[in-house]
Amino acid sequence: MRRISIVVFCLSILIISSTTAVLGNVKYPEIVASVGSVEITSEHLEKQIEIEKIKANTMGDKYPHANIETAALREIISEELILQEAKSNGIFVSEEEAVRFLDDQAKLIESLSDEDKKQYEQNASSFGCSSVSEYLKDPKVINATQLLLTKGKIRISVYNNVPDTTDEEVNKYLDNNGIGFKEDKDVISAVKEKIRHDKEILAWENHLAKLVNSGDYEIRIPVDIK
Amino acid sequence: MQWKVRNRTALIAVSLALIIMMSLPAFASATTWSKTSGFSNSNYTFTVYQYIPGVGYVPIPVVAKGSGTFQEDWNGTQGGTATLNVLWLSGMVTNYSQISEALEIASITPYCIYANNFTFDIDTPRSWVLHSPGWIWQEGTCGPALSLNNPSVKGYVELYSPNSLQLTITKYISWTQ
Repeated sequence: MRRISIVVFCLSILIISSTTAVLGNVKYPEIVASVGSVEITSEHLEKQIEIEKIKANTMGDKYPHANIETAALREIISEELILQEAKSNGIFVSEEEAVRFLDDQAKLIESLSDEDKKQYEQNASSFGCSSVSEYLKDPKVINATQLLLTKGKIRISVYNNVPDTTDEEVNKYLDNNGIGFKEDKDVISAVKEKIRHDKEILAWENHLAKLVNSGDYEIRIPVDIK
Repeated sequence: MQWKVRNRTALIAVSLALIIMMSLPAFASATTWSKTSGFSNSNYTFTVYQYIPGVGYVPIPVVAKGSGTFQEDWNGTQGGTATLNVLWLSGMVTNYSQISEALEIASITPYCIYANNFTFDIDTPRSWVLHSPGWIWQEGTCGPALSLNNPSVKGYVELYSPNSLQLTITKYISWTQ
């Protein structure tokens, strides 16, 4: 696991530092797609492709996509659609909110072992910062955190719309999985949470699929993300 | 005299039977016991990459705090044959509300690996789970790997996050029978 982490870290540094990532011999036009008024550049796609490659290598057979290029473009477009959905719903994350989140992370990182801290220190160093705390105060990091948390707010709002788990669903789950202890409150509570969590994940997948299937975007390369 | 002999024989027989009956439970009676272990607030260090036009991907650190609890309920004879009736497993992210908007945790998987690589596992979101008694596992001894001179059991809790490059991070605790 440690070796995988090191490989992932090194590859990720390559992504960050690389400005000329290319998928094989594919040459993309400068603009590969547009979402509303936002243009998606070939540079963005190429870097996302590198990320998908790392995911595919890490997950092996469990990687859920058949085509890395398609997965990368779908990821970029769905992310932009989420951000536009947030904007149209008046959902945003302020700079102060992002700073608060990063301050919390700084405290958690401070409590880590030297070995666990190392990956974050290397990230900071690759951005020219002398420490993690300096890195976490960088305007680029704060801006990125605002975007990340904005996407998260949309995801949590989808989770919150998932209906409560019914007794019927609990009983069906217990029967289907051959679980006894039907009177045990801990068991019932755990199963309820498990069912809810599964429904949250499914609701989010469905939400993304709906955005991709009906969103306002145009793809200028021969890739079908639907 | 004959009665005395008979009586003495009967007395010896009864005494022997009593001795045997008294000693039998030491070998044959079944008992139940539990073995519990776990860890709390262990650090799971993820990095999420967020793209910013003109800058590229910016790594954002997200530290999840995870806990795991494992309980074996045994029935049988300690040192002899025993059955693992239920294996309780739990995995939990204790700072979920703090990190949930930044890190998508798609699954939490607590599981145990015994020295002979039998694995009991189930996915769970932040709470207790258990295996059904239908999964009862007959053990040759009351310590799963005692015969292999390696009585260790490892309990793991794995977090999976699809929006992090370190997709999966696993923490474990070892314990002995």
